[in-house]
Amino acid sequence: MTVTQVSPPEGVWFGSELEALGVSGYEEGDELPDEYRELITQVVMVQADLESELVFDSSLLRHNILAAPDPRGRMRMAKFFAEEVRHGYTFWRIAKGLGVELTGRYFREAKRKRQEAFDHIGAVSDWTELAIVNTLTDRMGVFVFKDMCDCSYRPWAQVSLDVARDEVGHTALGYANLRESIEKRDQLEAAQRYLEKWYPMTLDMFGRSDSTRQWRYVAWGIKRSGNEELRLRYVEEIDPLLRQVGLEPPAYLFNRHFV
Amino acid sequence: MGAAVTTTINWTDLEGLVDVLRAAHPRVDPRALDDAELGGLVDGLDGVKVSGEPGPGDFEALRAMWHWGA
Repeated sequence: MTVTQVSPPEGVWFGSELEALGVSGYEEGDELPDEYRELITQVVMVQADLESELVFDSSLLRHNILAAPDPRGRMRMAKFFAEEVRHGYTFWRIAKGLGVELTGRYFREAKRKRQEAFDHIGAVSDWTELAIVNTLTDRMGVFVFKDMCDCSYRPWAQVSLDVARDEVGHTALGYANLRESIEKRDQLEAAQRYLEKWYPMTLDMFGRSDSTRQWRYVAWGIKRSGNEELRLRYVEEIDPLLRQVGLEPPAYLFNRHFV
Repeated sequence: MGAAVTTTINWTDLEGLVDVLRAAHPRVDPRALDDAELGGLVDGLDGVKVSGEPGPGDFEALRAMWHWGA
């Protein structure tokens, strides 16, 4: 199995559809082209599905804060989750601006398809696994949000800037916790096991490399890069970090479901 | 005039390094800096000699400790 598509097809570049319309971007409340509305709503809903539930259900916060092995770790996780709840509220507010009212019932019924990885987060078994999750998935968030910092939907561009900065802090915290678990609590073997579970799931979260929709996001100036390009840049950055703490990243296609 | 006092910190003492960086750059948000920029701040510390060689994971751990507190 090979993965090759990194660049957009001929005639598509960042914002090419907007250029054709003579538009530079949109603000909340603007009339949006139908396809644009569908795509930007999808982008917001993916993130809202991941984090806005925290505004309605705090059980995940408690579970993960108490997973920390000491008071310092609990303090840091509480600060971490304060930022995640703020993200959840922000995504909820942006969704509302697009005409989507998210409720606690919506999340409870889980009507929307969730990304596989986030179905597992509520079941994180210990502090080392949580450190792996934060190291991997929050760094994925850095790449995804940095890629939308000049999104043509202006409210989302500003949100992306803010969230990308926060996610830098989150993944750094995950890595510091991971390093401490390995060096001070002898968790290398467990960490490698969790890495093999989460690494492929995280790579899958960037989306399929042959997706046709990814280029529509680029054409409308919502995202700057295709899925595979972001994924490759992510791997280039994360693998040396993992190796430095004695972990061996799985092969690129190991246990992947969305190639 | 006396000679300038130089403190030596090794990259393995991240907590000590963070203390010095925080004192020297109280308004800096380490999340806004990449590894090269963080390295530049470390190299530019006045009166502090930092020994040893950092790896990418050292910058990441430094960023976390600086941002999240001890």
